[in-house]
Amino acid sequence: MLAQEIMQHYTVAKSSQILMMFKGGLSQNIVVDLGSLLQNRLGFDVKVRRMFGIFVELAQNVKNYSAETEIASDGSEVGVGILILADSGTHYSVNSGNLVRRADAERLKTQCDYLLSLDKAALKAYHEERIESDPPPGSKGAGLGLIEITIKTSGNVHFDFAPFDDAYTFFSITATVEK
Amino acid sequence: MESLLINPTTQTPRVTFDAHAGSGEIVGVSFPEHANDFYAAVHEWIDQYFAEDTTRTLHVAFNLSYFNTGTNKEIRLLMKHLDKLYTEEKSVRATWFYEDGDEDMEDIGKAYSTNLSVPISVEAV
Repeated sequence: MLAQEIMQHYTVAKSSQILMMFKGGLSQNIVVDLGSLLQNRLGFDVKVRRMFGIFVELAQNVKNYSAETEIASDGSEVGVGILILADSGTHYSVNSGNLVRRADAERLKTQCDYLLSLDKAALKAYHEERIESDPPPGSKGAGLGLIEITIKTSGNVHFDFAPFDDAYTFFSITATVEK
Repeated sequence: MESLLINPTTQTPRVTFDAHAGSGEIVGVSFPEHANDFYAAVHEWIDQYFAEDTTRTLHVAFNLSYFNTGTNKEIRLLMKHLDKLYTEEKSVRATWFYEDGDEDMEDIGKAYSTNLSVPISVEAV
């Protein structure tokens, strides 16, 4: 990369007020290290903790559910994606992006739309119901991450989908948290 | 009975359960990859503790500044475990500490305190 190209990355990062960006395989160790980096940069007060909670859910969501995977240094298979943390002055913007199979995108979109249609009380009731039930088949968590993100942001979360290629759709989550 | 001592890491809390003192503490942050594996040791210790002597008392202090979804489920199971022991007439109680101003943690503690029979004191620090 030459200066011109690196400067482009720098300019985008600067104008988007990016505090941290990571693209790659998200093993648990990487998630922990990114979390430490974030704490070193921002401290760990109540508001940072709330943002940190969303950051970890997004990271673990990519790790568990990205359709693009790689083998981490510890030998485990982990999801690949991108995480971007930006500072918009009054808010933190926590973003993730990863590939999902096109065949899975529709089901995922239905689930996201459903979460956004619920008010706070209904979200908590749904969370309660899901935490008490066994994880859905094929789920690596309890399928709770997206519900918790929606609750923690009080619905200030945007799920989006973009065509990637014949086999995959790019899935992004943008969560906004007050600073 | 031996104490249960787990040193804290950047992703797991300090866990101390002391049979002589009749108390346990879970302190710090918790977002391990496999939360169920991590908390299994606590369940085992508690079962062993009361298996040896049903008249013992136990006070468990939760003092967590952050935990993830996976841990949330495990904390719930641990609270239910304590609740079950309490309904079996074991002398069990808990304290849920939260940092003053951390409404999320305060709400979680209050929900447990309201929904379960085991006495849970919710205290700001």
